[in-house]
Amino acid sequence: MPKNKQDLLQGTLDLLILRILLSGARHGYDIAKRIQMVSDNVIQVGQGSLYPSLHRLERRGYIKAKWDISETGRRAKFYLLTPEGKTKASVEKNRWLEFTSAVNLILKNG
Amino acid sequence: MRRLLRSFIFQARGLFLNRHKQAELDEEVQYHVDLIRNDYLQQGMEPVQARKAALKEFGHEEIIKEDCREAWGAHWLFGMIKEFRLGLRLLWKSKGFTAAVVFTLAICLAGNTIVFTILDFVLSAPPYPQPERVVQIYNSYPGSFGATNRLGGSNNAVSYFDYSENADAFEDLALIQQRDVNANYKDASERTSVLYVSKRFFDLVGLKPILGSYFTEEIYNNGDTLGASPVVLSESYWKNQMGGDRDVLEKIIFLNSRPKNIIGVAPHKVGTHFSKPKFYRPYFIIYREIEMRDDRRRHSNYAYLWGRLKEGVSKEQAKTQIDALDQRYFDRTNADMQEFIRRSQHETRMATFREITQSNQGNSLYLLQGSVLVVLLIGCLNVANLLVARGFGRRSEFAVRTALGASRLILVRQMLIECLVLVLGSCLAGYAFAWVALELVNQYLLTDLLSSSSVETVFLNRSALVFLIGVSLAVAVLLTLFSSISLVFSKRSFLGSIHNGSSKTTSNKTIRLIRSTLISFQVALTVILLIGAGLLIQSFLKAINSDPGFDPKNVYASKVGLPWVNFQKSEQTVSFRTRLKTSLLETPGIDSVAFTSSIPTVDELGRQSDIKLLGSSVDPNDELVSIRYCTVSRDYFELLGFPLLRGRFFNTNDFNREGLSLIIDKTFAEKYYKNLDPVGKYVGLSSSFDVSNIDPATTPVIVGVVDNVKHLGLDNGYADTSTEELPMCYFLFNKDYGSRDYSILIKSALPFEGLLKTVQEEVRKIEPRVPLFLNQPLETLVRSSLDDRRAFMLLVTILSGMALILSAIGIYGVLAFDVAQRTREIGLRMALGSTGKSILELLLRQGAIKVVVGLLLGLAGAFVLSSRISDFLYQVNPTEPIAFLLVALFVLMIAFLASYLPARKALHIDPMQALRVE
Repeated sequence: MPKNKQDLLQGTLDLLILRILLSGARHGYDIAKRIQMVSDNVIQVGQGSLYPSLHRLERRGYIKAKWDISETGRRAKFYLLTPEGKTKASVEKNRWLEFTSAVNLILKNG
Repeated sequence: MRRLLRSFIFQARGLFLNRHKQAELDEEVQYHVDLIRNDYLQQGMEPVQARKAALKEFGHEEIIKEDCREAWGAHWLFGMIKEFRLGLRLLWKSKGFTAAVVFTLAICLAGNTIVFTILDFVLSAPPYPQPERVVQIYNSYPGSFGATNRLGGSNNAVSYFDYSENADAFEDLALIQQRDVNANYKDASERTSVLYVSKRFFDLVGLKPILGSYFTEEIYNNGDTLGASPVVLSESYWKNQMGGDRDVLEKIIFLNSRPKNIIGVAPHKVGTHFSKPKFYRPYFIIYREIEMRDDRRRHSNYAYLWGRLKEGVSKEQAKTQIDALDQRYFDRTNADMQEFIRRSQHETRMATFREITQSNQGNSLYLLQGSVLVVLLIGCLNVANLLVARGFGRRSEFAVRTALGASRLILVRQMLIECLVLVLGSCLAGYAFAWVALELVNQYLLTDLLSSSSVETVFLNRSALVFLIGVSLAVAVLLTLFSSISLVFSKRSFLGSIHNGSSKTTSNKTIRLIRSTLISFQVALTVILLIGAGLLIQSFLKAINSDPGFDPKNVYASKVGLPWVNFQKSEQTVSFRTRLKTSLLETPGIDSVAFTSSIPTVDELGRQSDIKLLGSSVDPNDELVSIRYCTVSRDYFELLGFPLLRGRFFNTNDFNREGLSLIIDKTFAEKYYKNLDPVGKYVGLSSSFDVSNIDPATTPVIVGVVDNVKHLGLDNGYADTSTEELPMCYFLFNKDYGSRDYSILIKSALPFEGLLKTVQEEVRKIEPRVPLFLNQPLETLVRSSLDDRRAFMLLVTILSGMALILSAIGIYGVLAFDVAQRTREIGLRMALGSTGKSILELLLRQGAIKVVVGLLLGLAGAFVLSSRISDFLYQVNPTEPIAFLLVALFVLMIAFLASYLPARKALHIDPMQALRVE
């Protein structure tokens, strides 16, 4: 595993999951792959560590889970956003953008 | 809120569907790992290596699963249940410890619940709608009869009409009077009580009849002219005597031999705070007799006046109105009356049910509640001590758990859970104990303890349950606190514990200090309780051994109530008395027979003010005197063996004399005649008496002086506190005395049962429908005047006994633990040549320091607090040195025993073995 991969900032995993689920229901493996793919393999999620996040988000009501037949023909647990989850995704996104732009400003001008 | 609920449901589901969820999680993870493996297989990896790589990429499977479970949140709930089970298992393992703790706490909790229940029943508001609006309105005369802390008192029809017509603060006002009647229904005859009630009484109470109706306005207005006069039955009479027959309306029942028409049944609750009458009758006489409304009778008090305040009207507003009406009365009345009102400092007062019971009964119950709480505290300290010791013994367990990553919080939580399990067990056991004990209390103690309350039975109700649970929770928190303290202080030595593997080094200093403090505190509390009990016992012994001033031996007392129909004229009652006395005296074995209006130590005395004493040491025009009195027959004094100090007892001349003859007591003579001889002096019995107009034939005259007698019970000294200085006066049952309710005293050496039959027989011969009641040997009656004191003393003694036993156990436990802890040290000392005696001394000294500190604290505390019980003491000083000394010696002795037993064990320690103990 390449060493220059970014460690995930704490809490951002939730945001990433929410963002990815905006495009529809996915199971865990799918989500992990998607994160890797979209981030050009920069962000390497410890794949297992997705699950505590997923379960936490489910408990908080931002996503819900249903069992369905996957592309491999096996039963898999799919996660999808609830209405609250959708709102949460945009709120968190804005907050993240605000935060990073502030950090960027400091890095540039500070 | 919704989110919280959802989270909770999620958790609960997590808890109950745990297995299912677990399987789902496994499947989900497995699926993911398989997919990664597939990727590697497609990249051409060997299956075994692919699987390894997949697992590596996924991460530590078990940790992730654990994190997920934590995310479910079922975690803490689940953990609690796990720890609950663990706690149960640990407690089950140490059965002796658990049993000791549960038993101690259960007993203490039960005691608290019992006293609370009684207190709650006594002080609970009557079951009427909005009871806080119902007040008693009564006359008080602190200037004449002394100030008293007790609330409540009587009033009369004049005030009733005045307030009803002129005060608008009240929704309803009702005047009531309780009397005894002879009730005959079918064949059953009994003496029972009837409540005469004015208009609006039932409105004031506000409870609907079970059957039929109450007295209507029409009934009051037409009086007895509507055929048989109406009566309303109480629920208890209806159920017990008539079997709850619903066809009882319009039937006839005889009260005092006169037919009454049953028109309704009132629920039990109506009477609970009005002396529990069996019948209700309209109070006709106040409407019928014009003299009942005579303004001059506004201060003759014979009935109770109750009012229901209008919605939103405060007691103060009502009081202002009543004060204004009293002032108007004062302005219009004559000078004599004005003088009386001024001198007696008359004031109309108001008090709710609750305030009245509280002032009469609250004190002793609050004191009991305090004592029983102290016992609970001692019990808790004992248990805390056990827990601290146990926590110390479990240092290794905790150390290991800490090393394995249990946070201190988790350990405290486990302590809390263990304590909760213990307290829950104690709570259940305590409930059972309390339930059983209350049955006994109802049967044996309650009537004695609650002499001035209408509560007859108590049981565990909802508020008792809430109280029990509340106290239990408090106990649980307290215990957790104590056991956690030991945890916190032993924290540092955890590491050492692991190294040592056992706790063979001397126990932690801080913990020992805590335990010593607990013991001292326990001893102090015990000493305070014991001194309280000691003072009460001393009072009781003094009271029971005190001389009543008369001789109750071989005297029997019965009460009689003659029906008004057959005894309307005083000649008839006099002839009944004479015939009864003659026929009784003809019975062999009966020595003497007397009549009295009040049996000493049983009945209340009459009170009268505005008495003028001629030829006394006070000026009759200047100072009017208040007295207590009873009316007695000629042979009363000789029958009861009253010592005569001056003059003579009553004789036949007195009986036939136009005016009254009186005998006064020693206090009377000393107070108002100083060095003069009261015999032969005249007395004016009202303020209107003209001192210049004395007629030797008709003016009341004093004929003798007798010694003081304890009329109000053995423990009331010569007088109760409210009438401390009131002198006593005896009037004669003379030829004009027509009272129909009085007591018969018979002196005879005959056995009681036979005698009672004879008397009943003789009474029946003269008048068949007159039941005798009371019917007791006077000695029993005199003794039972101390029933409430005995009950109270007994309870406090039991409580302090419990405290003592608990403390002794506590001292024993702590010392035994110390000895066990110091086995090695003691062995070492012995090996180095210490004698058994010096080791015993060493250990005893350590026990003694704790006890003596506690004892001193306790003595000081008792010295400060014992004045609180001075109301309950009889001729005993609250700081009586004997009680303090005896208790101190007693506690020292018990403490010595409790420390000697474990200390002696240390002597049997074999040095060789002790040093080898790991």
